[in-house]
Amino acid sequence: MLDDFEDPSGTTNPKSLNLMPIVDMITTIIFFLLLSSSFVQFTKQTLPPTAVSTSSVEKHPPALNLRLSGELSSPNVYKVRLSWRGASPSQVTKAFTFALPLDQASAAQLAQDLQTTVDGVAKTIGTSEKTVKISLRRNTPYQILITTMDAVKKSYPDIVLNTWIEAENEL
Amino acid sequence: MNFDDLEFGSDRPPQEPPELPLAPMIDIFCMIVIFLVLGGAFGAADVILPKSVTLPKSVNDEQVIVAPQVTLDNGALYADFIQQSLPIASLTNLNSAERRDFIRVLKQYSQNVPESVKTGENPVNLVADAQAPYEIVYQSVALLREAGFENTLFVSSFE
Repeated sequence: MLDDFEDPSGTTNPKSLNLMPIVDMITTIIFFLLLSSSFVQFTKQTLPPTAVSTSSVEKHPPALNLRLSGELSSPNVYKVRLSWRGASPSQVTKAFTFALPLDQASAAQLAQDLQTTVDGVAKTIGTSEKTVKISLRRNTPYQILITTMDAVKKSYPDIVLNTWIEAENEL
Repeated sequence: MNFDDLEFGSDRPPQEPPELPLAPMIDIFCMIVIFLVLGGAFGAADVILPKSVTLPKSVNDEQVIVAPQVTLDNGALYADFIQQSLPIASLTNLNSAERRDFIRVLKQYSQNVPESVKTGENPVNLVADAQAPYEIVYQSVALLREAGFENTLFVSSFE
């Protein structure tokens, strides 16, 4: 290959290093290291503490205990009640109308509407606790459960299923 | 390279035919292979879907993982890995002997899964019709937890 660099006069150019394979190999190694390594940030803590402090807050607020109860109040209306405790207990009740049959598009729309409500609640009460307890009436279709889980999963990924009795008591 | 170099009958010494640079191509292929090996998902799970079951629709596009499957169909909860089924009437009756026996066999299976093939917290795939009532789904999940399957995965379709 180096012969290619000879000019017709017979004099040779200074031999140059073929950089292409080297650059390729380095690129490969970079990709390999990027994919195989994990980045960890270490923090430092100095012990013992230089002073002892006392907290003026004696009681922690009670656990959030976010609960979602739902029922189909009519074939195409999904009624949901979100209730929570924490520092300022409250609740939100809302009815969502969806198109029948509950196909992919209709389910996606219902999930989006419900997610907007859940996100609003999440902004109010925060997402420090990641758990939501879901309870639906006993005859609620499985599809509604999946759609509800789709809607709450973004803000509250830890989903606990409660018995239908809770929904029947709350709604 | 000059095309003049390839001419015959010239005074210049004969040149070698042009070579295809293979080294960069091999390097790139190696890189693609490594990328695919590290980034690909292997062992996609198979879900046996009975004809009478229509899966619920979901906007979640997470892939199904390899796990034992239980199916709610034809009025019974069927576990393919133990080849046994439990009628819904027994599923909802917490005191039924049939339910207790079913849990015992399931527990035996879940406790004997070899560590080498265990994935996470003993997951199980639950296949049920979109119209299945919440009560039955809840009772199925409760039964599976009782039998040692701590992680129930609800199989749904993403279109």
